Amino acid sequence: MAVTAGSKVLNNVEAVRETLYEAMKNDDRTIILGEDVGARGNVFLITKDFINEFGPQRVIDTPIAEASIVGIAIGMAMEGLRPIAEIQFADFIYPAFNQIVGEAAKTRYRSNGEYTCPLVVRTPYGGGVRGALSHSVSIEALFYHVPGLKIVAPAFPADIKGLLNAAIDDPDPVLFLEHKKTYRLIKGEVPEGHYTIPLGKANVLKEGAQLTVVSYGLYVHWALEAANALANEGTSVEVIDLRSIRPMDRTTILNSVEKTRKLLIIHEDNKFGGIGAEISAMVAEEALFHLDAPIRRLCAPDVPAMGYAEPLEHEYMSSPAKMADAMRELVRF
Amino acid sequence: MLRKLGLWKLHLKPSGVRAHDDRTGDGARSERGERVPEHGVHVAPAGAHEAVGDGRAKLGSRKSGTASGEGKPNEKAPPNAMRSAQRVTIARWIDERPGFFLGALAVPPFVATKSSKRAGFDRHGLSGEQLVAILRTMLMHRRLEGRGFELNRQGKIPFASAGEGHEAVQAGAAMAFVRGKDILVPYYRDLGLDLGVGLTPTEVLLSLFARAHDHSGGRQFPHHYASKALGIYTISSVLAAQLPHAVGAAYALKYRNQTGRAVLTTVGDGATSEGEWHESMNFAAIHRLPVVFLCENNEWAISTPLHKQMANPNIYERAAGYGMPGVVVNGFDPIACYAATKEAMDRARSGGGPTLIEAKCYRFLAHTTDDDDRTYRSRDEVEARRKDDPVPAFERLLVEQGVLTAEGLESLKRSVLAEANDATDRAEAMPYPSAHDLYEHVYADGWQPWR
Amino acid sequence: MAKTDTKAKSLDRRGLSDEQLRAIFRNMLLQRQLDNRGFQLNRQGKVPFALGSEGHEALQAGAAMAFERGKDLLAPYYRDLGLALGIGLTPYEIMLSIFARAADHNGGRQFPNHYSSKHAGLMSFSSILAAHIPHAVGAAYAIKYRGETGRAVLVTCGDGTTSEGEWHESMNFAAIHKLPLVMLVENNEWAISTPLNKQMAQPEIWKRAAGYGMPGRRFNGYDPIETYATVKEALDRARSGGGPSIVEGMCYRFLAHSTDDNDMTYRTKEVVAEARKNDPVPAFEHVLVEAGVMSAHDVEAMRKDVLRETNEATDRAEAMPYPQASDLYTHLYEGAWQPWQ
Repeated sequence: MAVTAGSKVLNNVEAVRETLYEAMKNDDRTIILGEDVGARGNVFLITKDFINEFGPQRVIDTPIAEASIVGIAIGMAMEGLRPIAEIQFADFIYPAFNQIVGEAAKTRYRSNGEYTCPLVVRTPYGGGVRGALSHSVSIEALFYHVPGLKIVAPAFPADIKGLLNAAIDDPDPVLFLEHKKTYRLIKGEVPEGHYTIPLGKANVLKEGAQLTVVSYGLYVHWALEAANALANEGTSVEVIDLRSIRPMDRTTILNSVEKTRKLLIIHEDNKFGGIGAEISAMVAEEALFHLDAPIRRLCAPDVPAMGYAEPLEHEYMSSPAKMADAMRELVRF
Repeated sequence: MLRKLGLWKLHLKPSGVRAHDDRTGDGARSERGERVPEHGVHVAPAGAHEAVGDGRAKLGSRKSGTASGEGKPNEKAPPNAMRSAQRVTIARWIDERPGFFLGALAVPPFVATKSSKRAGFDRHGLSGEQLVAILRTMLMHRRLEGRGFELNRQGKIPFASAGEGHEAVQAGAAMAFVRGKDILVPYYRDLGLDLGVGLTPTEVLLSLFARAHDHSGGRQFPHHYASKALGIYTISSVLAAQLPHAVGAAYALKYRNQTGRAVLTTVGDGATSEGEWHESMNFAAIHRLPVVFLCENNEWAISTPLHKQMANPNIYERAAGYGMPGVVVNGFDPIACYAATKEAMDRARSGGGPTLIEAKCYRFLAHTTDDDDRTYRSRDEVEARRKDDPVPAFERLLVEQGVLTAEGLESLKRSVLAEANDATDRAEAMPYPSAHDLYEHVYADGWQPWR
Repeated sequence: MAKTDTKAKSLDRRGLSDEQLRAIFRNMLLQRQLDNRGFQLNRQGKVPFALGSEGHEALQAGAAMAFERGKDLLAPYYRDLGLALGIGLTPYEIMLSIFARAADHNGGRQFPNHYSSKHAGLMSFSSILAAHIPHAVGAAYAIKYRGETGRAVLVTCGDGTTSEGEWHESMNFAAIHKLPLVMLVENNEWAISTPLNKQMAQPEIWKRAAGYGMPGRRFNGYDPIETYATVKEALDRARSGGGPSIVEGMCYRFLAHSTDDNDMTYRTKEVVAEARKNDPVPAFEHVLVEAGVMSAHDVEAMRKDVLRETNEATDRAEAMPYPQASDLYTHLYEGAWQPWQ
C-alpha cells in the first residue's frame, strides 16, 4: 500500500509495542509488570528487549499471581506511578476480578477523589487461534457493567496507538483489550509521533444506507469484508467499529440507525448479556420509531467457550460468509 | 530526683536496631534490653521496672505531623467545586489545629515519687511525653469506639465496630510511624493506628456519622478512614485486598529511591489466609521492598477461632518461607510493639527489605454491632482474657513508674472525654451528603456514565 | 528376559521389585517418546500445539509408582504426561487428546495434555495455574468426610504455581483439616521465562510447609527411586489419617514451555546443555543396566516396543473422526435446557 508521509505501516502487535516503548521512554513513572514481560519480552514479543533498555525495575517479571499483579499495580498507581499491568491472556484475569472491579473501579469514588487509580490493564483476548477453553475468551461483558472502569478494544494499528496513549494518560483505570488473532494479521498505517484518540468515540469504517452494522475486534474486519462483498451485489451497508466499549459512543450508533433504520450487532462473545444486549436496549429505548426491523445480534452461542478441536472452534466462531448472510437477511426484511 | 527529659519532640530519628538508646538518661538500664532478633522468636516482655527521673511533660506538642501541602485531594475541579473546596478547608483546619482539640489541658505536674532505682522497665528510648502520648492514643481509641457503640445503641448511627484489645499494638506501632514520610495501609479495625498517625477525633466522628465532610464524603463504612495528607490509604472492606496496594506503594518508594520512607500495612489473623496475603508477602520479599506487614492476631475472625483458620498458630513462622524476617511480639505491651515496629520500619526505610511482625492480642468484643459473640464463644473465655486488657495495665505501669501521677492520669482521661464529646457534637451537627453527591468522583473528567 | 534377581547390592531399590523398576523405566521412555511425537506432529503441521515435559520423567514415573490405582486420585497439571501414563492412561488416550478427536475424554474440547479420566481417578483441570489445587483439597475433604481411609489425593504443580494465592489458600485449608493430600511440587526452575529467583526470594518451596503446620521435604527429582520412596511415604501418611505434606522434587525443564515458546529468548543453550547432563532417562538406564535389572539388549527391545506402541496409538488416533459441529452443544447442563435457544 502507498504510505502517507509521516506515517508507517505496522501490524497490531507492533503498534502495541511501539506505543508502550514511547510511553516508557517519555515518562519514567511508567512501569510494565506481568508474567514473562521481561526476559522473554512477553509471549507475543511485545516487550522484547525492553528490560535491557529500561531495566528490571521498570519491566517486572512477576510471579504467577494475577490478583496481585493488578493489586500491586493499583498500589503503584495510588502512590504516583503509572503502571501498565499485563494479564498474559484474558482467560487468566478472573483471580484479579476483585482487584479490578472492587478496588480499581472504586478507588476514586470511595475516597471522594482523594485517591485515584491511573491504571492500565492490558490483555490479549479472543479466539480463532485454536486456543481452546482457556486462551480464547472474550471478557468485556463481565467488566463493562462496572461504573468506574473504562474499556477499549481497538482493532486497527492506528487506533491501538491512539487509544493506548489515551489509556495511559487517563487518570482512571482502563482495561485495554487486544485481539490476539489480529496481532499479526492486521496491518495499517500509523501516524508517527505522539497522538491520542479520545475514549468513547466509535469509527465509521464504511458509510452505507441500508443497514448499520456495529462490531469490534477481529469481527469488525470480517464484517467489513462481508459488507464489501454486499457492495458488489449493490447493497449498501454501514460498518461502525465501536473501538471503545465503555464509554460507548451512543451518538454515532443512533445517528447511523436513524439513517439506515436497521441494526445488526456482531460480536465474538456469547450472545446473552453481551455488549449487543446493551446496544439493543439502548437503541430500542431511544430510536424505536426509527427502526424498520427488529434489532439483530450475531454472536457466539451460549456455551462456555470454543473447544480445541477445529470443528468446535469453527462452530463457535462466525465468518465473513455467515456475517454476509445475516446482513442480507436483515436488509431484505 | 528531678530530671529534665531532654526531648519534647515526638518525631523519632531512626536510631537503628538498638533496643534503647541514651535518652533514657541516668544510666539505669533494663537487664533485658535484648534486641528483637532478625529471624525467629522474640516475645518482648512486659516492661520491667527502671528508675526513671521525671520532669515536665508538655502535652500540647502533639502535632498532626505532615504538611498537608500534598495538594488538594481532588486533582481537577470537580463538578461541585465549592463544596469540595469547603471540605478541604475543613479537613486542613482540623489538621492544623490539633492544639485546639487537645483543649485547655492542664499540664499534669509530675512528682518524683519513690523514684529510687527499682528494677526499671524498658522504655526503648521513649520519653515520658511519648509514653503519655501512647496512653492517650489508647484511651482515645477506646473512648471513641465506645462512643460508636453508644451512638449505635441510641439509634443515632447504624453501625459501629471496635478493636478493644488492640489498643496497645496500635498505639505502640503508630509511635514508630514517621509522619510526613511513611505510608499507612490499614484495615478496618485500626482506629488506634489511625489516631496515632494523626487522625483527629472529629474526623473519626464524621466517619461514624457519615457526614458530607468525612474524607470519603460519607460513602465508606465507618472506620474505613483515608487521609492523603496523613498518608493513610483508602481501603475497602475486602480482607487482604489492601496488601498488594501496600506492596505497590512500597515499590514506588523504592523505585524513586526514597530512602527514609516505608509502608506499614496491617491485617488480622484471618486475612493471612487470603491468597493476596501470600502473593503480597512473596512479591515484597523478592524485591526487598520497604514494607512492614503487621499482623494483629486477636485470635478471632468474626466467629472463626484461630485453630480453624490455620494449623500452625504462629503466623510469624511463615516469614522464613518467603525469605524475610519474622518477629512475634506481645500485642498487649505497647512499648514492645513500638520497639518491634520501629526496628522493622527502620530496616525497611534503610533498604533492608520487608518484615512480618505478629502481635498477639485478643478481641474482647464482638466483631461489630451486628455480631453477637455469645453465639460462638463463652463469656468465661472472654472474661478470662480480660485480665490482659492493655489499657488499665499501661495506666498502672505509667503511674507506678512515675511517668504520670494519679491526678495526671485522671486529668488525661477527662481531657480525652472532653475531646471526644467535642468531636461528637461537632460532627453530629454537620450535614449529611446531598443526593447529588452520589454522582461525584466516578471519573476524573466529569464523564457521567448514567447519562 | 530380565533376570529376576539382581546382583547389585549398591542399588537401593527401596522395596521396588525388578518388575516395578522396569515399569518405571518404560514409563519414562514412553513419556519421552510421546512427548517427541507431539512435537513432530506439530512440526509436520498435523497438530497446532504440543507441550513437552522432558526432564520430568523420573519424577513422574517414580511418583506414579506410589499411586494406588482404583483408590487414589490424581489432580495433575498440564505437564504431567508421565504421571497420567503412570496411573494407567494409554498412549492411545494421549494421542486422542493431541489430535483433538471426538473419542478423546474431553471430546476434543480441551487443549492437549489436559487429560481427564474418571475411571483412572484423574481429575479434570484447566490451563489456569493453581485453580485445580482447591479442587484437590475439596476432593480430599470428601474422602476424609466419608471416612475412606486408604485413599489420598496426589496433587501436582510447578514452581511458578506456588506463587498463586490459591496455592496458599489450599495448603492452609488442607493443613487445618489434616486432609489426605500430598502436594507434589515439580520444581523445574522455570515458569515459561521466569526463573526461580524472580518467582520467590527463598528458593526452597518445601520450607513453607512448617508455616502451614505440615511436614515438608525436598528430594532429587532425577532419581525415580528416591522419588518413589518420598511420595510413597507422604501418600501413606495421608492415607492413614496423618494429614497432608509438601514434597518438592528438583528437576529441570529441558525444552521450551511449549511449541509456541522460544526459550532462547530468555536463556542460553549453554545453561540448558549443562542441565541436560542430568537427563534422568539415560541416567536411569545406566543404573538399571549396572544393577543387572536389565541388559542392554532388554533396553533396546523396550525402546522398540515403546516406539511401536506410540506408532500404533498415533495411527489409530489419527484415523478417528473429529467431533461434529453439533458436539459444541452437548454437556453444558444436565437435562434439556439449551440456553442458546
